[in-house]
Amino acid sequence: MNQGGSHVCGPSPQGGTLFASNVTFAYGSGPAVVKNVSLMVPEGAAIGIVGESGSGKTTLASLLVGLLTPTTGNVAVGGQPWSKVGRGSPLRRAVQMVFQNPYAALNPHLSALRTVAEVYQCCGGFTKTEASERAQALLERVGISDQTQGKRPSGLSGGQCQRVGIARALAAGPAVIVADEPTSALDVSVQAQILNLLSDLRQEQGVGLVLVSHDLNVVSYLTERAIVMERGEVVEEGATTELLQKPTHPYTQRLIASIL
Amino acid sequence: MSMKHKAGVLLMTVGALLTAAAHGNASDGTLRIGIDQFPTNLDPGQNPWQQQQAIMHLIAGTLTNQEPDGKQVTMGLAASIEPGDKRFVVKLKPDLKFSDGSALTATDVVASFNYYMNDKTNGYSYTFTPIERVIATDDLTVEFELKRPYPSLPFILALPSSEIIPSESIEARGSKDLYNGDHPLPAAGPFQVQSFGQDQITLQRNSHYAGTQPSTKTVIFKKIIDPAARLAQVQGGEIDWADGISPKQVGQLSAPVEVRSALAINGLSFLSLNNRDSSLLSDVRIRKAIAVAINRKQINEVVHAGQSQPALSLWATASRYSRPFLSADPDVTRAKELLAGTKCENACKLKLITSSASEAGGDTVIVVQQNLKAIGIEVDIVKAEGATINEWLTQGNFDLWAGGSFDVADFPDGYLAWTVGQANEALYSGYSSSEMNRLIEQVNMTTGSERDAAVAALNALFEKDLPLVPTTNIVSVSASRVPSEILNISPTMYLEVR
Amino acid sequence: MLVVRTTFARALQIVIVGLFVTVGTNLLVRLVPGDPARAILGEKASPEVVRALRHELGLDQPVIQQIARSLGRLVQGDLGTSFGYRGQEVASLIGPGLGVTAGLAAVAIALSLVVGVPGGLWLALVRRTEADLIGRLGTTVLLALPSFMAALILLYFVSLKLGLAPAGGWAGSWPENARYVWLPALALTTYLGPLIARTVRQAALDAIGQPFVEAARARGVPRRRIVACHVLPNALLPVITLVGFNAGILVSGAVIVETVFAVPGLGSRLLQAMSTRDLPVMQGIALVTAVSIVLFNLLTDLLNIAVDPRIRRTH
Repeated sequence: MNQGGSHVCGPSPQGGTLFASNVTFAYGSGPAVVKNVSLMVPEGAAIGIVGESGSGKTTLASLLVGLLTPTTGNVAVGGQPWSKVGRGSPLRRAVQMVFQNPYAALNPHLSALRTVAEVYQCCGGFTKTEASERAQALLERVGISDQTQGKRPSGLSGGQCQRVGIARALAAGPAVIVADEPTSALDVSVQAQILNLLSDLRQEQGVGLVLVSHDLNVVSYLTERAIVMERGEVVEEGATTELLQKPTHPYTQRLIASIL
Repeated sequence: MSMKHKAGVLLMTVGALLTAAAHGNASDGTLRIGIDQFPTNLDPGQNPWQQQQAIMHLIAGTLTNQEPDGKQVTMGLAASIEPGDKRFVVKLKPDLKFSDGSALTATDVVASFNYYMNDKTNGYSYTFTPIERVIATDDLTVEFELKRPYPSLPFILALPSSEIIPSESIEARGSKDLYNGDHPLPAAGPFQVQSFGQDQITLQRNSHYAGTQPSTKTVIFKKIIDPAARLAQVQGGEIDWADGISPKQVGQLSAPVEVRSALAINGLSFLSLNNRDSSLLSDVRIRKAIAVAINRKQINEVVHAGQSQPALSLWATASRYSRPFLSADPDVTRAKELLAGTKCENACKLKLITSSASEAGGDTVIVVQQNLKAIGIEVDIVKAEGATINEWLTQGNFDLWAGGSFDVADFPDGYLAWTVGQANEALYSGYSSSEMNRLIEQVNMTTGSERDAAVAALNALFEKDLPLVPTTNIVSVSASRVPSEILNISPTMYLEVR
Repeated sequence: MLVVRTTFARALQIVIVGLFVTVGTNLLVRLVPGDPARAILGEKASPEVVRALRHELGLDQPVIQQIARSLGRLVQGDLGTSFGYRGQEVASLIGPGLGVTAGLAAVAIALSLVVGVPGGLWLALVRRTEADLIGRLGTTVLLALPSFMAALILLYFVSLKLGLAPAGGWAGSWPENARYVWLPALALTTYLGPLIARTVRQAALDAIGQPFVEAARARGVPRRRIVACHVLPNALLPVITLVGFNAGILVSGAVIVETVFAVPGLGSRLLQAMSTRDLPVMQGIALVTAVSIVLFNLLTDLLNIAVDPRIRRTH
């Protein structure tokens, strides 16, 4: 399956560019929920996707990660469209996801340590002990202490679960992390910690970030550029600070009004 | 050959091997009999049901032995019986032994009968009431002193309820433990109990048996409650004999399984009629109309698949006391004539009860309902579980009951008591006639031409009063894969094992 | 703590069930007609003899007194003595039957799991295809089939026509019983198996839709490993509860199936006891069955606590 070696789990050699061109997606024969969206995430960059619920931003996230296949258009990672990337390919892991519901994001049967170690073991070809050691270190880094690492999701708080989810995504050695509303299910007090963690990790590991949120403030805190989505379409696009200060589209203005 | 086919063939082969291995058979001297009711203990006084009796009959050592035809007895443990008016003298065979090898003497005979006569919970107490006392005059001689003439005594002595048991055991074990199946008493019958379970009872040939040794070494009774399951097992070779199957299933049997059936020598299926004042049937004319309107041939065909015979008198067709006066075919015109002037002249409604567990009863009532509709009598069929039926019968809460009664041999005492005599109000009909009771007494206490005359008078009175309506003979149908010379059912309704 | 609390609750339930069953069966048996003494002695025995036996069996005492006596015995762990099997302890009479029924039920559960879990998983994996449709239709048909019908069909085809199994009976000892047990167990499986398959299918579908499975897919984890590590463990959880809650239905199904296959379990015992109105045995069987079901439920609870990672959130 894997050739082994540490580089396999590191950033893919082809570079981490994630590129969506004219992507349209519809569930079955239903109406398109994502319409003609193009988006580029350069290596190490942070992009925001903003919109209300139902705007198609979560579907777009799934398309970016390759969990969904576009009806028309293309999502390519490192120059390869997802349809050409096999399950075992290192590129497959170049884009990882952090989910909205931190409990549902984790297999309830696995402890925090196992959750992360499994990634190292499975995709990194590490032995059980090695995988475990690496997972310990990584969990420590995201703020899950030694005593907590043995607990299953039911024994963890929402914030702790989200940290584990982030560690799991990182363990795969991605070029880009797509985080779908990573803080919306968490207490306000915890939200900032998670955002800070994402921000720090991005700097540290040079990982690109796609942050999906309904909250422009959150997006502006973490990302340089953003797109604004309404009913599956991109209605505005630009530098985040500009979007926040001088929104041109009425929808963006409404979004800002709702957070102020 | 594809993999699937190979697997299929393999499975079938394994299955066939397993099944073949399971087949024991009569050639190794073992008989496996599927039966639905077991004795719960070995008390000869508390196992009255037919299948319990069939098992007890193989164990019990008795002074006389019942011949399979049910018509006469031969000597069993007794060498001779000298009958008398109020005294029977029984000489025992010499050197008799129980199954454990201990000697069986007159002392054991006396102790056994004393025990039965004093046991207040003995269900066969009515067979002992005419006996005053039983004494031993020497080791091999026993005298039965009687309160009144009791010519049926030799038949009574052949019943499993008159089993001879060791006097020592009676003294050593209390009544609670005497008949515990877990450690059975030594017995003097053709077989002894080897193991006594709730689902399997194993009998072993008794090497000390005084009569002819059976060729069968082992009889295994298996309790199989469902008749269809018994049939499936005899057909599948799990058992050799499925006791009491439905006559309608006879057509399903395939070689080597064959049908075995017997008509009871003494007893009938009948409609018990409520003779009490509370019922319309207290009017003898309506009772007679019903007797005439019933289609006995149809009942035999529908209920017994033609395996039985119409009942045309108070007695079983083969009984020496039978005097037919009824017709196998219905006579609607005659029945309507009989109904003229009664409460059922135009129309009436009767309640016919039957046990929900009895397939035969369930089929009979439907034919009866049809037959009586033809003479304007509407029949309400009410089915209930056996114990409930018993309660209704005792309380007189019915008009008709599809039931029956039988005894193991052709002696009149018990059968008359239950059908037209005083026992349990003539098995629930509520019929009570001092003239009938007098005639029963005469029949029971006389022999030869005197008895013949009494029976004739009794039959005439039965025809006149008609407290119950005979329908068919009692038939027992079983399925067997062994020759009838080895295992069969006889008119006594006992299983004959040789 | 949860374990102790659950065990205590179930123990309390056993006491209550015991009380109700004892009082209930006592009253019920007296409400329905039928006299145990008459059942033992036959219809031809004289009324005096029946009265004498009723006295010996204690049936002539007031009902309240009889109930009080059986409760008193029960407290001492004594189920009483049989009416029919004179002088024999009820416990010793029904013990072997309980073992047989438990054995049959265990094999049926095992077969149901062997058939139902992979079956349900497969149906989930081929969801919304023709195979899924046919599979679900099949389980619906099987679920609607009464146990005795299934038993008779199996008896006829498998045993009589194909000769693949004995047409009933019981060897009396393991592993010899295996020859006899599989067909009746299969008859019971026709109910529990499809039920498990449907439950596993639904639970597997639920799990497949969960983000943690998506995350695994996003990592390129092989399909087989996703099913084995992430879907199956979560699909199995409801099965434990399902089997636990169906214990009662399984036992009542066993009663019928035992009759068809002449298996000497509690069902046969109960039928015999009912036909002879052997009150202490009936009571004993009702009690043992009720208590077994509660114990089985307790086992289910404990198993759930042990394996369901979502339960222990409180500690």
